[in-house]
Amino acid sequence: MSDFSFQLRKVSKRFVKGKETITIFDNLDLDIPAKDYVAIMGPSGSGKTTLLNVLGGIDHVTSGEVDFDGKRVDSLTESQLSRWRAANVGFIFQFYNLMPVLTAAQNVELPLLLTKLNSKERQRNVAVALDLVGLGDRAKHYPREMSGGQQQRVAIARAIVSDPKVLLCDEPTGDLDRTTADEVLAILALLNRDHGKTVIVVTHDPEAANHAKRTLHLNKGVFVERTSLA
Amino acid sequence: MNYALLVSKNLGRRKLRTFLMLVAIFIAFLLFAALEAFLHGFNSGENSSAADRLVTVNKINFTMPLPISYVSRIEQVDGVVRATPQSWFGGYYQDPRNVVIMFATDPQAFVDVYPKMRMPDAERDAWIHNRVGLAVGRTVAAKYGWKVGDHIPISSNIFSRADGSHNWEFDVAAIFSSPDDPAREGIVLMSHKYFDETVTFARDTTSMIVFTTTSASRNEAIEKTIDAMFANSPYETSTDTAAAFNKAFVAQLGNIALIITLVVSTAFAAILLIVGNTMAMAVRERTREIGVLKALGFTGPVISLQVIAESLLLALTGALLGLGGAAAILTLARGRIEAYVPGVKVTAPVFAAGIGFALLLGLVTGAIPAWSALRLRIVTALGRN
Repeated sequence: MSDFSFQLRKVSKRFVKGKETITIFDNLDLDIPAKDYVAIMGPSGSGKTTLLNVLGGIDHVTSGEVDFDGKRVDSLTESQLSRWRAANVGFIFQFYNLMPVLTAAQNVELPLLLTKLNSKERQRNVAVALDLVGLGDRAKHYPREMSGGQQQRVAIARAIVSDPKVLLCDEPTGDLDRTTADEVLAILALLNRDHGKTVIVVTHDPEAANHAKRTLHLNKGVFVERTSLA
Repeated sequence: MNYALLVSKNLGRRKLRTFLMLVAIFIAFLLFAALEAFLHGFNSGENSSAADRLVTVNKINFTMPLPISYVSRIEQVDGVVRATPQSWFGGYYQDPRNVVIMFATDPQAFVDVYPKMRMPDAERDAWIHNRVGLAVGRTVAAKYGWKVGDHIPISSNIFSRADGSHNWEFDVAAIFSSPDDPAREGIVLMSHKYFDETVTFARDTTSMIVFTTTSASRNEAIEKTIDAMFANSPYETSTDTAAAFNKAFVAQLGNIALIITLVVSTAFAAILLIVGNTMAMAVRERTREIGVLKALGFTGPVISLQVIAESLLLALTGALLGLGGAAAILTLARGRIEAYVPGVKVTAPVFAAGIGFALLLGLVTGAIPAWSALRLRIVTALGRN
């Protein structure tokens, strides 16, 4: 097992728009150790979300190498990437992206449908995940019956229920007020500190970045500054 | 939770839309099953006719009479076993709306020509020997509550009696079943002797003559012999198998099968467009959710199968309701319908065909949204880039 969650080597991402080729980032190198808590900041269009997508295997690089846990993931097929994501990555989105027709527990249970766990085991894991985010008593509530902060905590429970190694968070506090945002950030810090999850957060929020062990500043596809709490 | 629950939850997210799609599918399959049931009724005589049973009618058309003497002359033709006259009576019970499909016939000969007709021996003998006796099909007896021994009036909208009245009196002598052709249980048979003695016109004539032959292989030769025998007479004949006669009878109503095919095809084409478009819209609304599912690790084929499962569930539910609804309605209205078209029912093959159409409908309407879901890129679905 590698000491690194992710290692990016000379990664480039370009796309063609009309006659123009747009470069998001070029020859980017990045090491993210296991159990790290990284915030990626930068202005809009700097490439931070694309970088997060590349890390999560939901977008492909144009060239370069992306390793996860010492193994290349950029060359995996779509179905291999799906299995890899299900086993290793938990996503947390800005707008929660819960399924409105499912209860909190059912939303959290979704990733477990991809595992071999039986119904009883799945429900036990769901209860543990919901308890961890402080929503054990909201299991049967639908998203429309919960506040934004509660929905985001359900989304965090969904992201961790299958015990992934990495949590990729795209503006997780972008839609929340300060108090609720701090609660969510506290949960992410707890997951990193006590449960050993590697947490990578893309954010505009300096407060969110303050919770991370280090912050990477991306501008026009280049890391312009690296700061660390250590 | 499981995938089945996920599928049903997705279908239930817009209840009115799902309900309206179900209604559209229900109507299409109700129409399909009902029309096919009527087609079965029209064709039941053709399908159940014995191969060795032939029919002779007037060459002009079957509404023109034939002399009753033709019965015995036909019986003398080599290869003919037994012949019986059948004259349309045009009956109704109490009210002209209560149509009774009734024929005057020679009871003994009729029993010989239709050996699979079932009735107790005592009732059969009573019918044969009672001049005003009736043999009543089981369906008709049940409809009007007639029992053996009942004395009943039946009127004719064609034939009057010597006193000018159209009201005839009968005794219910026998109640019969017809396992080889349940549609026959919707008719009533009276004695041709009583008919002939009582009518004020058309005496000594019959509408048609039904007879059996020693072998179906001799039918063609016998048909030619009989028609040649009566050629150049005032009453030329046309002889055919009972199956062909029944088919020609139905054909006079028009090409029923073609009409039904056109109506059902039009309904299905409309449903295909409505349900297909609605399913595509329903899945398009869930683009972001599909992206999330893919991000969580669900593969494209798994998500596509869920979409297909949704459209299949919808189509099958609507189809089962439609097919079942048609069967229920036709069963409840059986008494009324069988007075006009005996043998109307939703058969097992129609039910199976309906399920087949439903599967096809589900697959076709789900195919495009499933394909879209399969190809959807996560970053596009999540509105990124």
